[in-house]
Amino acid sequence: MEKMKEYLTTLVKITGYSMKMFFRDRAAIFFSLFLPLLIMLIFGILDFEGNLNVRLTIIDKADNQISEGFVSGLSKVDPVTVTEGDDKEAAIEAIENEDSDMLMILPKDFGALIGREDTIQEIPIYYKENTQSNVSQVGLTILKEYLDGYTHQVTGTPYLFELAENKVEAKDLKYIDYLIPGIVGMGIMFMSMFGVVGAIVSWRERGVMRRLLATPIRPSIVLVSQVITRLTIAIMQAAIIILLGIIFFDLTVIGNFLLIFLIIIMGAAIFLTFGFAISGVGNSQNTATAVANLFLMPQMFLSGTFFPRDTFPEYLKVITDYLPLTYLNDALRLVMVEGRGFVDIETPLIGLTVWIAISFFAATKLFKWE
Amino acid sequence: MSKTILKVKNLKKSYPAKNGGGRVEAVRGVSFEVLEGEIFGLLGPNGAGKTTTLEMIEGLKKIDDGTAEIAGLDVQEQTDKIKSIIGVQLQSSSFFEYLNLAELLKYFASLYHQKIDPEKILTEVDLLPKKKAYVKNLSGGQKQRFSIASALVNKPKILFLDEPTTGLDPQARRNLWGLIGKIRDKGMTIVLTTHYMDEAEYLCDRTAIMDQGEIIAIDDPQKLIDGLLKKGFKKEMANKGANLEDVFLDLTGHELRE
Repeated sequence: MEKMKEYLTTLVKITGYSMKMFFRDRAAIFFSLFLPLLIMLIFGILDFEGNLNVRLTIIDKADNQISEGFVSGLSKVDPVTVTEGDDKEAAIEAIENEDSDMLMILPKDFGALIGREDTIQEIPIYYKENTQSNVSQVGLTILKEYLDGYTHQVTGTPYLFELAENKVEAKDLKYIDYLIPGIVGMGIMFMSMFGVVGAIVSWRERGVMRRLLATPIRPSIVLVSQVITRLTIAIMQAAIIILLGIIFFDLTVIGNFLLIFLIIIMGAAIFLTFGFAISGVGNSQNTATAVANLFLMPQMFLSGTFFPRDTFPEYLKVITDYLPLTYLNDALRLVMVEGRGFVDIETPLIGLTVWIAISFFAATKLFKWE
Repeated sequence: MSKTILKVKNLKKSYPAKNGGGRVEAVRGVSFEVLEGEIFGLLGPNGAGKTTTLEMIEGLKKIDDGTAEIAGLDVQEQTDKIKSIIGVQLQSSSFFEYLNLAELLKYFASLYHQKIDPEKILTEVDLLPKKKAYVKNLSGGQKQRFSIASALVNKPKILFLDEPTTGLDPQARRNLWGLIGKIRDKGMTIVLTTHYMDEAEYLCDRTAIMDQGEIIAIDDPQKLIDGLLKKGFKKEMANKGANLEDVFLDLTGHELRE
């Protein structure tokens, strides 16, 4: 009991000192705070919403040659990404949540009426309204023209059809709503990883570790205090980014803050622990930093930090589904922007948990004191 | 007759050789005793096994064979207790970058679960005006003095200094000798390593001469010199009662350059 108390008192003291060290290290503050903010500012001002991509879900009820030809042909049209679905409710919900832009339902008799001038084929279309972007308008135009061209090409006769438009009230997300959770995730990743790698390797190189090993304290206390310090900073960093997002970019956060807190802790834990592992790879600061970069840089670009991964080729999409930063970004986005609850983010939470286990394993294998 | 505080018996350590197979025997059966209140020196060239011997006694390196006992405690069995009663200054250790001297001392004291007055310790090593400075902004001599200060936070029974003056200029060396003598005069037992003969001669009450992992002589430095003279040894160069270092210090003064 007495031992426990001594340990905790010491832990509190040295954690206080390691916080102090962090705030005196200007480079650390720059990389963990100003860099994410700078990136947010640049992307926020540039506003990449113009980077147009129409995410279209098609439910093909006809399932005949003509409808299949239509779907595969439309998939090749540039700004359109086609996903085939079969559940109308789910597809509409996806539009509400901004996971999809439009839904087109090809009726059972699609194509059968071609050539009949007395009947007009009705094709139901759902798209988001009330949106600040012109995705829906562009999408509608493309669909109409493509449909017209396709039927002409197949039959040589005009095809009378009408798009039965249904507007879906979407959450009306802006690009910045997509971007900021990504910036939070990326910031946590860089701060946790580089913070730990930089500190541990330089302490080892300069003999600080050895000096600590000459004292009676269990040296793990220094690592524990590092973890507590970095987790605290991760929370502060996320809070600052979110706050500035709200103030300057009109960010809407509707999610549960406790859940956001949990996700940040889990994400930081992964990259911190990988940091301990990587600090044991190679002996110099240069090697460790290079390995850390190799681990972080691809994730920064492949985990949907700045843009959705929808435009990736299928194989890349599948691979990047499993990246730790993808889970972190997805979870943050689902909660912060879409207001999802605990059960809705089961997949990323499981992903994060598995990565925590992997990183712990790697750290126990690779970490070294001297 | 003072009490023995450190007993080292037949200490051995070997490493796997860096190139090729086999093992390098760094320390091959070293035995000595240190008495309370004395300055004991391990004198020897680089690679003689001084640092390895010291680090085994400090509990930093595993002992392959033999025993070391400090104040009746066995180093291998009670490593943590040993670490809490010794003060250690390592050959090339550094400190956290963004804590000032006073904070670093408090940090180290907390690792021993102790409360200290950092100003008092800094005064002892003449660094009080630097209490708000970072270690990286100190001169070589100041760094070594601070390193010794950090080894004093737990009021150790015995202080280990590994090559405390290596790399320092003559003024800083003399100054550090003064400091080490002052600490001994307050009753501290000190074990130090050095490869400077004059340092061992000036500072140490007794010194062990080490070479290739073994102690080849052990005694009061003056007695070692007398022994050699008795054998009929004569220096090639006539002793003039002063040397170039004395001239240098006379010309440049004893004041610290920092």
